[in-house]
Amino acid sequence: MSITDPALLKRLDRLRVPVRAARGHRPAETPIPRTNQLWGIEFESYKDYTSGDDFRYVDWNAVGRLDQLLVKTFTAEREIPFHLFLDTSASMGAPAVDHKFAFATDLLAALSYVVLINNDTLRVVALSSPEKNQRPFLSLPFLRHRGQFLRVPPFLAGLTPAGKTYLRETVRAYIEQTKEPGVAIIVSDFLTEPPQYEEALVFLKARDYEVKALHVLGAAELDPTRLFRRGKLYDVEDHSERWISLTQANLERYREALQAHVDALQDFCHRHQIVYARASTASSLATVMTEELPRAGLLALR
Amino acid sequence: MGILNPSALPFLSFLGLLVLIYLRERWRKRIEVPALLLWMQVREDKIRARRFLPSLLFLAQALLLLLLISGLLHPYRPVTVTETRGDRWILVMDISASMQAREGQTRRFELALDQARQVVKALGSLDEAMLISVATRPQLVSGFTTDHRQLLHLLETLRPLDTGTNLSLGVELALAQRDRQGRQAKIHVFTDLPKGTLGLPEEQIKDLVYHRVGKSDDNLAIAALQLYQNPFQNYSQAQAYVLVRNYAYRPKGAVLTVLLNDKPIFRRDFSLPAREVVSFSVKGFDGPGKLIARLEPEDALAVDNQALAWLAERKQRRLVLVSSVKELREELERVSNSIPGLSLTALTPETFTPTMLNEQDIVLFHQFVPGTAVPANSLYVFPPPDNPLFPVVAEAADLHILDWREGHEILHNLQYVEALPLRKARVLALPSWAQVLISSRTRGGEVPLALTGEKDGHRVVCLAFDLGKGNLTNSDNLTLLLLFLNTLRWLLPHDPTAPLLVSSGETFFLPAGVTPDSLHLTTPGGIEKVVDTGSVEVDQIGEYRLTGSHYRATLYANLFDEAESDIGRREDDDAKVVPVNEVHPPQELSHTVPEEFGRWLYYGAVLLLLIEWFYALWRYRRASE
Repeated sequence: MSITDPALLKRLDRLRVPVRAARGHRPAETPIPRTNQLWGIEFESYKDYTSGDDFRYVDWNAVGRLDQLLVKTFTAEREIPFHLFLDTSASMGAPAVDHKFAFATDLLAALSYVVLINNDTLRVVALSSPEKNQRPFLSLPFLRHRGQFLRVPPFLAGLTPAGKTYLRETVRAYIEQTKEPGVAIIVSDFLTEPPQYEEALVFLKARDYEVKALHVLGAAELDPTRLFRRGKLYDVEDHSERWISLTQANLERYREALQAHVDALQDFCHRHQIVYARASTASSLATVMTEELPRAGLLALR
Repeated sequence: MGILNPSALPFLSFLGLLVLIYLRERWRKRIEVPALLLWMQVREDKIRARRFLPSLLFLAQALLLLLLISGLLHPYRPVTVTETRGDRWILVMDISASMQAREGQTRRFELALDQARQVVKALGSLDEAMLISVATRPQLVSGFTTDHRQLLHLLETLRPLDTGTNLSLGVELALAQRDRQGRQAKIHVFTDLPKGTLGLPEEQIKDLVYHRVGKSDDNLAIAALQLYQNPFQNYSQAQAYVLVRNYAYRPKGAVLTVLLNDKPIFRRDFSLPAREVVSFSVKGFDGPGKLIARLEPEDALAVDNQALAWLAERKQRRLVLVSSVKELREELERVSNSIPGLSLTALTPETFTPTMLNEQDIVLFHQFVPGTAVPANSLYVFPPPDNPLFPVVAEAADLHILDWREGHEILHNLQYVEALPLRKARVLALPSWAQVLISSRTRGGEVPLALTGEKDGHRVVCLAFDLGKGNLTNSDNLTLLLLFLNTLRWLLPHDPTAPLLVSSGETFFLPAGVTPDSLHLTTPGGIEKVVDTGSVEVDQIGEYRLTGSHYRATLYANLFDEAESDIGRREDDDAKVVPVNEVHPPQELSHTVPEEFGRWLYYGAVLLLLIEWFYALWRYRRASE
């Protein structure tokens, strides 16, 4: 099921990205928790009338019952700027049998659709490798309504995974040029040394971004027996090689290393109040979008 | 277990090749992973582990290769089989002329045939028999067969021929066939000849079952019919001699009749003592034609009671002399004047052109060789240096004749060849088409003094020495005159209308250039056959006629064969009746034979290939899902 499938789009229409801390200035539809206002749809609480409040917002029924001037407050709804980051390092394209990069671009497109149908603004950013070209990232301008979603798939289709992973450098380069923080969702395999991704995430948090990490894992990464039994492994980013025989003991060691890597990322996210979600290429796009990401808290029903 | 084709063993090296391919593939192929980060905790293979480790696919391919190579090796396992088979017999039947000899009311051939029939009828149902007929040459009538009815039919088709016999060759053929395929055969020989005439070693013939038939010696035969008529003589000067021999051991009388063109011209009643010979001279013929000598005795063999000859009419022949030497011309004029039927035409090299000649001429080139081929038989005497036909190497003087070809017609009746007068001679390089007739020797090697050969369809003689002045007619040099006259005689072209005399049993080969296309043969019995090869087997006495659009010939076939005519047999031991063997029951023989099973290995290879293919298909579908 691809992103252009009407059945999938219909299911995505019911989703939204929950926002906890991000702020926006323009009124819109995304509810901002713990932020209220005197108008709105979703009632939040009452507050004492204070001098200067508009008499029109006084709840006269409460005055009648309690003989006290109370004003209703509502959950604020704003237009949130979303920054969807896609890791385009070479590791996203390997192993080829996983089609990890295609899966990641589909995920990003689906998230873009969800953001735009909720009338939030969106910017898609491809974090490229500075060594590959001079620009550390490629991005679309802010998209503001769902009609502009059609610009996303061609942009993503033009990307190819190449070069080393420079999450720290590219994220820093982006946030230094962007004045409008919001929600940052990073789609990556995070297959780099922890300082790389940790610093990138910390930079975003420090600039008042609400950060969400979407960890994409290939099926062959989870189960390397699908890929080989014995052979010469080749690192597509640093071009190093290593002869490995996939004995049961070696397989166990690999699985332990993978689990440790995932746990480290997950722990870091947890410590820094970053939403962490994992998506495997073994699952379908629809399953990930409608079941796994909502379960992880990255998406929610509208 | 064993292999029948060890030459396929080198194919096993393909297994090594397969290992090398896998090693190369293993070194070449790399598995792309996003990062080695997670693999750093996994222990890397040691060097030894990087070497070849067989995979399931490799094992399958190696097994496939092994199956195919094993199939090529033709593996076998020994299997003991029991075979029921009969004995083998070879029947050698003499069908030569002497087998036509009468024995009472029947002939020797029928007697032999009866015995052969009995042998065939006594064969067991699984017995195999081979039939060989022998006349001048042996002929395989039937290979080993168990079809005894067919064998009897083939026996019935045999007929005795008017030829001599070469029985030993037939027996040798049978001996060669006897031990084939590891099964010994029993040889039965049916003949009227004594065993001793075979001329084969005793150990070879001791196992022969020899059926000798006939004992009558009652035969009077024309042993020879000789007609003396040289090419320059007319029929009236010819003289015929008929040699009659009594092969019986008692006196016999007979009537000899000589017919010329079927008209009796000579008749003589005579009686001959036992084993004696008499010669009759017939002359004074009044015309040319077919001469038949016929003997009318009461004897057992008729085939040798008739002989044919041809009385030719003399034709005028022309000797063309091309020479600038006047003395030679005068001398040859004297010679030709003394030879009836020979005329001389003298030309000088300047006036000679080949168009002046016809096929029936003889040309004598003296110290001259024309630049083009001549359309007649020719004699070259003392060819000049730088001639186009006989390369002259050097000049030689005072040579002595050291060697010559005894028996050549040109040297016929020449008792003193070495007496030829040789003052000087030219040393000739021998042309490829010529043979040396007379030769001498110098330090440099053999020097041919006289050459004979055939070039462009015509006979050629070359004398490397000069005839010299007055040598031919000098009474001191009779040898040279005889050589010259013999040479002229050898060079005389054959009269195409005259019949050719052949011996019965010979093969007549068509002349060069004659193709058997549309050539018909009429045998003495009046049977017409189409000639489909370049030769005619002459196996009957009498007159054969060959008629075709481009070739016509008559053959007179005679049988003058003492061995065939002398039909009396005195060795009583050979003549004893050989008891016909009783019917043998079939034998049961057990022997070990190799049973190949390479075919099953090929089937296994195909099966393995199919399994691999289906497995790969399954894997592919699973991967695409």
